[in-house]
Amino acid sequence: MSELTIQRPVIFVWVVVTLMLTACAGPWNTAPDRLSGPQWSITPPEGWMHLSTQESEMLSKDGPYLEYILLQSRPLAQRFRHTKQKLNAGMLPHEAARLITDNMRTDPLIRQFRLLASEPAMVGGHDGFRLTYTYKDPSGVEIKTIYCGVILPDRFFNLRYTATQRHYFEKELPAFNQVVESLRFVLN
Amino acid sequence: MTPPYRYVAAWMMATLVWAAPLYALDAVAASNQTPRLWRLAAQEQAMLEQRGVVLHEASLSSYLQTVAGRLWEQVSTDLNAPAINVVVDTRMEAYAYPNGYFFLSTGILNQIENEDQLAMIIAHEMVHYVRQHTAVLYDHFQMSIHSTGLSYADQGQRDGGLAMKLKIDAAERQADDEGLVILKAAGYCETEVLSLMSNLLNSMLDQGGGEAVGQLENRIKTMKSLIGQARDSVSCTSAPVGSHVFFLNRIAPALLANAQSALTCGDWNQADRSISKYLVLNPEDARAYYLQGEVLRRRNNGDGKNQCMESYKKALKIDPEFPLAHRALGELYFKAGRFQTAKPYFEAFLSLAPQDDAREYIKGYLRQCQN
Repeated sequence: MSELTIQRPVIFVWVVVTLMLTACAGPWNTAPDRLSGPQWSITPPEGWMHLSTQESEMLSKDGPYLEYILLQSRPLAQRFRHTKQKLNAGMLPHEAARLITDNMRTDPLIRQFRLLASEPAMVGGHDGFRLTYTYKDPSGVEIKTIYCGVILPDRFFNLRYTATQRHYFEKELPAFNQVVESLRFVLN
Repeated sequence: MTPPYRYVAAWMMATLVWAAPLYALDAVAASNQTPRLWRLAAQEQAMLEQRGVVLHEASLSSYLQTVAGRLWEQVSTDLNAPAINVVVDTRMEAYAYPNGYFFLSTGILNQIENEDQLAMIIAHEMVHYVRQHTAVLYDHFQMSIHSTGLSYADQGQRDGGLAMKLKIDAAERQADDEGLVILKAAGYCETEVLSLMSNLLNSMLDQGGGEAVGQLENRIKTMKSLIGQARDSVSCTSAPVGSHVFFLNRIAPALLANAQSALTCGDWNQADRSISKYLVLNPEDARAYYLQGEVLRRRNNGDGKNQCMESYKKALKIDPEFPLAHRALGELYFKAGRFQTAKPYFEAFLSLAPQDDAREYIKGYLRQCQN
């Protein structure tokens, strides 16, 4: 009896969340040969799937719970979810990188956040940064991410690769590096 | 135990610990779930340790245990004495786990002005612990599930959660009432409680208020009637200025940690408040001036350079080998296009902190200065 009564709301929430997600985003499709936005374009890895949402583009080969590449171009003034700090056009790459790690550190769902590396990097031909970090998600799964970011005149562009630390991260890392190399900006 | 019961227990712990709703009981009651709740509490505490948010400062811990010990002498119980811990968190929180581990956030320590106020918070949590409110509420809802056949989620929603709210209010009243008795018996000044609550209320209003404001206002009214005072702000003759200074000195590590945490969160007002309080008593601390500079710089999105520059320079005057102040000044001059001025600061930073996370960036900026 208890199990049934507990499971009912769980199933209901799951259905509602699924409906909401499908309402906000289109279905997963085979990634096109070249994916582009108003100011950028990349070459997705061959055979990967693509999901477009209002705020980002996601690519995955085996499913987003195992690995994904996320691309986001957001207005500089847009607030972050956890830290109240804001980006601005005059920031140096490492100042922007620090803001991103501060946002991660203040995320209550992220456990055991560890910054493995923070380095300057050319992102689409612009001075940016590259972070490598690990953390545990609420289920205790160890996740590893490479986060490339760059401040453009009016936007903050970021491209990240996230995968489970075991098995998947190393496996698809070359695919991500190729995506980063394929990145081009078209700025006025 | 079936999995749903595990979820119920976990949910209960989370609710009790983070939202601080505790249920009052007329007598101390040991739940038959006590060992299980204690185990869950220990798991939560281990998680806090793993997240690296527990502040380990021997002098601060020793001071908090001394205050708790003085209060604990007034309590008649077979339970073990509580262990007081500090968690680096800018939210204003204090909570007691059923196994006697108390956590005070650096955010709430930042709001406290003296030892009497600190004692009231600890005394309040002691009542929750001694009364084992967590276990009692857990048992209450378990019994309710069995008698009504409703799920745990449905129990919580019944009457719009009114039944639960009433029990929580009753627990808080009990903790206030009995906490005050412990406070007085230990020789602390009870009227300081009103100043503390008034400070907490103002901070809540600064942060946008919310449902908790009304609850706190009601508790202030009740507390005023308990203390027999009707004024908004009452100062205690037994709490001279010296005790305020003594207290701030004891909690100084928590103030510094709170300033750093507030900076990470982008809570400039709180960071500024913590660092200002810290600097009054520690005017020769280079790190504190550096943090003050960071608050000024980041709050103004890089504008207001003169103000933050002054703080960084003060830091270097106190400790010419403080690397972060060198880096900050180098960045400011670099961004202003004054490369030759920036250069020695970057060089000093790299020589003083060769392993810093930012070293590769600074090497790059330095190359640009040299070109």
